[in-house]
Amino acid sequence: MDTPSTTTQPSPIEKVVQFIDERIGLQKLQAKMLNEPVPGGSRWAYVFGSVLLFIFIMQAVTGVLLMFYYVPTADHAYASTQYIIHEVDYGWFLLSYHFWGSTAMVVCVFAHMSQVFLWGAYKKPREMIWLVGLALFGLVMGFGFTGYLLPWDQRAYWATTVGVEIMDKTPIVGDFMARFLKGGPTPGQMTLSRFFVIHVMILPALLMGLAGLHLFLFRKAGPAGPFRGSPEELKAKTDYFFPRQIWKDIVAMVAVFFTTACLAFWEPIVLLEEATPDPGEYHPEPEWYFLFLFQMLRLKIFSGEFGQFVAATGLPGLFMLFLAALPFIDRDPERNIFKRPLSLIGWLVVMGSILVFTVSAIINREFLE
Amino acid sequence: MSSMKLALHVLWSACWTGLPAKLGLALLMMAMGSMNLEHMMGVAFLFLLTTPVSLLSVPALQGLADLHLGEGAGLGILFLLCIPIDMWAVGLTARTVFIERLKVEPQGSFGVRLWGLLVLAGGFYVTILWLVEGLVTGIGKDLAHWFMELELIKGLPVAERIGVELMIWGSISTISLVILLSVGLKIAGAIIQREAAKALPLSESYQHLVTRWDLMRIPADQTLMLTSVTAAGVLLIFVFWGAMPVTTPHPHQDYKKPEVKVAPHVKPADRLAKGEKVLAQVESQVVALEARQAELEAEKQKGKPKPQAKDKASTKSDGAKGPAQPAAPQAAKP
Amino acid sequence: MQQPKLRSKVRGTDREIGEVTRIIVDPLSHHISHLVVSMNGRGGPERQIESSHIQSVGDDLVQLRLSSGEVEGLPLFTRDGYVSIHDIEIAHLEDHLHVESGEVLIPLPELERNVPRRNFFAKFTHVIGLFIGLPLAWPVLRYLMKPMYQPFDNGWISIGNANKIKKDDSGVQFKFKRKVKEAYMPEQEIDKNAWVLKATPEVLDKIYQGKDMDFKDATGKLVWTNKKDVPYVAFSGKCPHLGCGYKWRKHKVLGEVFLCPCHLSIYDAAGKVLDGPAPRPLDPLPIQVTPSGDIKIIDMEFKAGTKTQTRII
Repeated sequence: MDTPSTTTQPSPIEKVVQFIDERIGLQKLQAKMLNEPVPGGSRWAYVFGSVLLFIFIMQAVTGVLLMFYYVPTADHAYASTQYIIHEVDYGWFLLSYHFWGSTAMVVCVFAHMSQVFLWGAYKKPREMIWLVGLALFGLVMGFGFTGYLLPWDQRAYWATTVGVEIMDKTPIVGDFMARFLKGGPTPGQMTLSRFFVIHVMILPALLMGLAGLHLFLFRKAGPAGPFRGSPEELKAKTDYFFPRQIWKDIVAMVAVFFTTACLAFWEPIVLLEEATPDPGEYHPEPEWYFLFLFQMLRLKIFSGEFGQFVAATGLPGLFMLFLAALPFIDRDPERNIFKRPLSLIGWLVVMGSILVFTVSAIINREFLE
Repeated sequence: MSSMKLALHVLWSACWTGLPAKLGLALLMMAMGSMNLEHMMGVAFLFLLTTPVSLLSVPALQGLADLHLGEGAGLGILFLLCIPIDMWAVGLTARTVFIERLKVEPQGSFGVRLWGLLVLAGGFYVTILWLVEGLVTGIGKDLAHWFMELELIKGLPVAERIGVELMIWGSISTISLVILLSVGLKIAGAIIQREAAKALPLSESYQHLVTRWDLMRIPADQTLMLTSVTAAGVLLIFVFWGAMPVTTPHPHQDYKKPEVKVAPHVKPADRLAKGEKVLAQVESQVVALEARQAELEAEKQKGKPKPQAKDKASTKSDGAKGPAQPAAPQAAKP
Repeated sequence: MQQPKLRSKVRGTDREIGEVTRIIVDPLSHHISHLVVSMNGRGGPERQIESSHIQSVGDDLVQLRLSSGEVEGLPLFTRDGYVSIHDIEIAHLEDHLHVESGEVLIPLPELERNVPRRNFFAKFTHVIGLFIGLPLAWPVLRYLMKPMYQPFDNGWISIGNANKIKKDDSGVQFKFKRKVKEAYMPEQEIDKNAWVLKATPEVLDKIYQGKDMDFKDATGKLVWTNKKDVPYVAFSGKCPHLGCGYKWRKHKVLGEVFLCPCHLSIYDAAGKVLDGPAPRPLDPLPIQVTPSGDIKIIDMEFKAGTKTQTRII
């Protein structure tokens, strides 16, 4: 909302703005988009959605840059990745940023989902936003899984092999799904090609579409706002999306940017040896955000073909279905988390279990040495 | 308002408010290679986040508990730079909480005063917290280990054992941590409340109070502030670009960079001149040899019959070719 | 209670006061909080009346609990403190309003009334944005430019023996293989060719024009000098027009010439352009001939289609 000059001639920029405004109603559009009042005021707790968008853009930018040099062929994937790391100027930094960015994305997805859950912002009338959000969560996990294979070193190859083999254990459709992903009975060039196209074209297109839908639905429903506070308090603190919430969003973005860059400096990517059919000394392990599932699969009660399916696909699948059904099961309009003991305890239990299993997986590494 | 809640409001906000600037500085230190964190990254981050209270415990724990966050002078510089950042953050957030929730306005250089008190108290308390928590965790782990050795439990497979053991000492550690943190917050809350008691009460409406602390964030001279922040930022970015390593600081042990064959620098004029010199030398040698040969021939001819003239002719031509050959490859060598 | 309509008449306890000109809605509760009444008909001063003072609402009439005198004492309405629903978007605000939109107003949040505040946060947001984008600019540029300016390989390659040349001033093609390693690709051998001729002094003079030919590096350092009296000359196998491979042919009119089949550039034995779109003569290469007749060249490539010769490989 620039204050136009009152007496003198409009500046060239103002003239251009006027030109566009005459034709598409730019000022009104801008006002409608930016001047959304946030009841109870802009909040740091609300930044995670915008931060996720930022991380996605950074991943897309670094990903596109990586594609200038990376080739998805079994004979050159490893060499081209090593070339990026060792020869191309700042290639190591861009690749490491892309890698750690995926970690940041998963962390922020958990934060965002938790914030929405704890604020009860999945309840009526926001059920559709929640459902689209769950789909987006699945996409983010898919990104992590498909991207992990691309460097084609031992870690990438074997983590993917194990992961796809687990999917194979799904009853009825398992074998078909696994062959579809592998592009054959065993992992090879076909697998790499499929994972590449999924990671680089299909998932980004789906993500952009669903994210757009997510934002649209969110604007239509309006921000839920804080779950407590008298109307007087809420009104006193209300401000607009622009500039205050946008300001908080961008500060959070810069903090995430700095953190990811620091991580890239702290531990830049180092590949293992090139993928071979013999795992040798290497113990396959998925990316950290799948470790809890990985550890669950080690439990005795999940041994056997059906057990593996239950632990890896069945239980997580059921849990996701439960989350999807949540807005329809939990119809109590109360949004204050401190007045929803079941929800609070449920959240703590789920987060706690994931934490325990993840740490167990890390401790378990020592047992394998 | 309870002291714990007050402390939580102030400290939570103050720590997170200062963080973006601290992260930027940390990034700069890492880019310059003057800070190396190895596997203590998480702990270092926690200390960096909580510097309003943990600043003095860092050197204390380094001495008492062998706490080694990382290598490099950058680490020390970073923590020193946290001082002005924290003074500002604590002042801003505490003032906001005071105005909105306690309806009082603090006077004077309140921010620096409060920061000083918190850092001193925190220096003691965080050190104690770290040591006690370490002790409790150790006991918890021993307990868990003893439990796992029991006949009843020994039969459990590996993954389950790890999980159970972790949950035993994990819960003990977590409970102890929560208790220690609560006590710490109560102490901090008491300090903050004492400061609040010195502040002037306000009688404005809620809306006015909110507007007041909101507008407090806007600098008196916006242009100056924005220009100086932009200039400082751009300068630091240039430093970042200069310091950042172009190739990976952790190269793969097996990666061999293709040897850039630097062609030996050729000065063609010199080479040609040298060649000509060698040729001239050789020529003179050849002439001298021919002359000698002629002499020898002449001598021999005095005492030998004609048929040998043929041989002499052939040896002469051989002789002429001979010296030229070793010279020619020399000139032809690049 | 029925919702008041715009332009309804407003009546006090004693007499008619004026007309409803605007409605003010509370953004949180979505209920009508105030009426704005234009005193004594449209065009009169506007006063703001709380909806709690409304006694009843009829089709065309709003009855107030206040007298006209009390209404006179109420504050005047100032448009500045409000925005209309065209200016901002509040979800579902109009769901239960049956008022003509356009004059449905929402009070500007107190915090947003300060223009310097908005400006400050707007500008600071831009500054922070700069701190995100700017650090990436330089690394990204360098990253993308890595393979663009390759250092030159000034290695000597043996291409054959001079005994292949039977005639003076006649172009003889020498095929050779050059080892190329591109980025992470394994080393490959590519087929190249160069044309060599043994030049008579007149042709030699046409090529060198009385000066030794210098070959420089990208930095300007001298790499090699072709002496003007060495009779062997090697030309790069690429036509300077657009890089096609040319041939040595017998022309009907011009005699034996270098002829490029792509766009019919014709060069004489000295490489000078006789006909066709070539912008410059054939590019000579550094050449050495050993006494045993081995021909060695430095394989260079030059930018096609330009008048001045610029080395690219």
